[in-house]
Amino acid sequence: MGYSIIRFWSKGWIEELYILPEFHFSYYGFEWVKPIGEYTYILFLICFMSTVFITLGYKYRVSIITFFLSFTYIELMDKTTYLNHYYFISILSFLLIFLPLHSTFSVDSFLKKKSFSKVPSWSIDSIKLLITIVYLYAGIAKINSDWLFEAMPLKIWMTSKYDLPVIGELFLQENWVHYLMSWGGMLYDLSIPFLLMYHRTRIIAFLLVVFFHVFTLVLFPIGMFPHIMIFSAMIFFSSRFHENAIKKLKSAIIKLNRSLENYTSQSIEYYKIKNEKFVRTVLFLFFLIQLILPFRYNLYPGELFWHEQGYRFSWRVMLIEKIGYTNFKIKDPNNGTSFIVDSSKHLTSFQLKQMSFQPDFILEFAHYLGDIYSTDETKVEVYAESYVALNGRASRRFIDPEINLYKEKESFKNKDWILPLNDEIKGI
Amino acid sequence: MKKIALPFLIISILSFSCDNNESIEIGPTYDRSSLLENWYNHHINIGISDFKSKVEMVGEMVDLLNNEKTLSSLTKLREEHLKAWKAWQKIEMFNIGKAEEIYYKDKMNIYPVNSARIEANILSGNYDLKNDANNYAAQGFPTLDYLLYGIGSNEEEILEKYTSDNKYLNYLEAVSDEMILNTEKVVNDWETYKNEFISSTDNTATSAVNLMVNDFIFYYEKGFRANKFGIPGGVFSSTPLPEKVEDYYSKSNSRTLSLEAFDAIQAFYEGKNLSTGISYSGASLKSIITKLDTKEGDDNLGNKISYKLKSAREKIVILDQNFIDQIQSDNNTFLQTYDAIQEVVVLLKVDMLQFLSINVDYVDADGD
Repeated sequence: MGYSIIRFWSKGWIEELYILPEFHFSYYGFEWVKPIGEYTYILFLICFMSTVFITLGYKYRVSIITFFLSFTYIELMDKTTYLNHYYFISILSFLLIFLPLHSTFSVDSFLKKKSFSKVPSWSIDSIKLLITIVYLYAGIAKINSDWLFEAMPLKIWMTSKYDLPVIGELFLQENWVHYLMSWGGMLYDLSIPFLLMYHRTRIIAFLLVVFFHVFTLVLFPIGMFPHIMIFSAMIFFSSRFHENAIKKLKSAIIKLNRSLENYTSQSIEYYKIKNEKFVRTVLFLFFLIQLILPFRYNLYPGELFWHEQGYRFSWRVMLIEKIGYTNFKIKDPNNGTSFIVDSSKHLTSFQLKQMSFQPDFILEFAHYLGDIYSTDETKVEVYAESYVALNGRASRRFIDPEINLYKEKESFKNKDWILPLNDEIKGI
Repeated sequence: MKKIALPFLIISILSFSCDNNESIEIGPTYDRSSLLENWYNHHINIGISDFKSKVEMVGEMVDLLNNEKTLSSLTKLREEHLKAWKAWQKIEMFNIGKAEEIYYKDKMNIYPVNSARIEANILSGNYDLKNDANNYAAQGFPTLDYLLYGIGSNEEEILEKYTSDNKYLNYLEAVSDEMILNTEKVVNDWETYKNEFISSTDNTATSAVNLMVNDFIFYYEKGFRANKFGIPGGVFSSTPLPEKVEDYYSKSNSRTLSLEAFDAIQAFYEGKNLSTGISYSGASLKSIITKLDTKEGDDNLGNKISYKLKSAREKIVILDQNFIDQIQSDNNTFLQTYDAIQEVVVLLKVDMLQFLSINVDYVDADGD
């Protein structure tokens, strides 16, 4: 994760995404989380330092809490950058707050001269469970008619990779390849956690993990996600495997520094977790939420992929290719005159792109524009001229052009000003 | 392993067997190098060489006026100015390579002009047309439009400005020289840039295919739709702004200029030679989209864009030659034309970009 932050920084994304834009899209209920100007760099620095401390196992508990808070704050600043794997990091770090990752092979245990060889199995199982949920839900989400019967959106993405060496021209243009990848991806997601759990298939499963994620890395611009998933899959390996790896690492460290050789620590077998009952309750609730949250979309009528109400935080990865074109009309109700706003004056091109097909973004930006163009005397009306295309379908009107969005409020209620897709994507 | 291999095998066999008839049609035929070659040979090269000779004629007529300060010289200059301005409409969209680097399109065709700035430049005789961005609106075709039609209420008055002293003539010369010079830079650069352009077929943010598609859409939306129709029609303001039409001073060529631009857009999209209008072989934007969209007939995006372009053109043709008159007498018709043009923007920016999946992303995405 430390590397991820350095990468983010070195690409100038901190400035581009959090400092330069005049406006940021907030999560409902977290409107108070805003970038803090130049201090945003310090936030990233704190986040980075905590990753170093966590890796060393020094002041583990404080570090992981710091990491969770700073990382989550960063993600909450602007939902334009929402990615499933950032969310994964956020909740994984929350989970890790309650787990004794510093019990052995860490600076903490070195300083306390205590090392534990065993931790309660549920602590490791809970990480496995989280990863299982991620894969399983991602797999379930792929069981839909667009993915399986139209090979969408993979068909669009793969044909556009015609410039890849060797496979680009020959392979990725073929219809059967699109279907193979769609079905293969679905089966992969559904089966991989179980193949990793079962010791006989584990090695093959891990090779599959590496292959799959390296392949997606080549095909799609998905940043750190493949690396994270490959490493987190290693949790499924037995303790013996990890002990061996650590032993080798240890002897390497000792070779570097002879003085450590004399270090002895009291080796205790079981790590005792304080307030175990409390921790277990927290984790139980945590997983309950994780299991239920992805199904919240059922509370909304209409097509999930179209209106995206209840879409986020649900491991729906790579499922939709969506492009939008949304302009806003500011109308003066007193004299009926109106004009179209140049949105690019207020948003970065990345924000503009994301805003154009997500209703909650459109509403938030409409309010921002309404605030700008209203005066003390006149409260203007804001209308959206919005067109969106989904998974190879023809574009159609997305937002009811007769609805004054400035009067609509953000909430968890269904947004009835989103026009229907008039097409059904069957699936879970 | 068996567990996984079996379903994989079944699926691959299934997909093989049921798609045999389709795969012939959707083979790897999106030939980007043919596309770029066509763009260069049938549009860019034709357009810029034709324009170069026409803008040079403007220079010659300026010299003529300098030598013979007569009404006939002024008329000849006006004629060549219009011819070159029409030829310019064919190449404004190619804002790539050298053109982009030297702000070619900004220096050639920004309107409305800044007439106060022009007059101040003429008076002082001290100005920098090359590097001062404030002078973009004080050079190029719209400035010539001002200098040839706007500095007097009739031909005699205008000619008078050029005969009384050399200030106006000097500026006229400076502006036309600058236009010729910039054009030479662009034309010469294409000689070397050509090969790089044609071979840059990747799907990356900086490849020629993607840059050109973006330029094309940007030109259609901004240079064509907004500048020529939306802004003067009052789409982006509370009231119409007829003073922002392209030929504000000559007043009689708005429709001609718009149609020239539109025909170049249509030819570019359809894959027709810029000067002859004859369809060429190999790839065009339309041929690629038609193949990428699996829908057939009228529902196919390639055809849909063609229809919409056609009906937009029909709406332009019925407008008054003078857009100021059109806006002042019947802005509704003018705005209907704008709407017809706008419908194509949606198809280009949403539907077409969806299929082309053009890589303009610079931030990670996981497709949600």
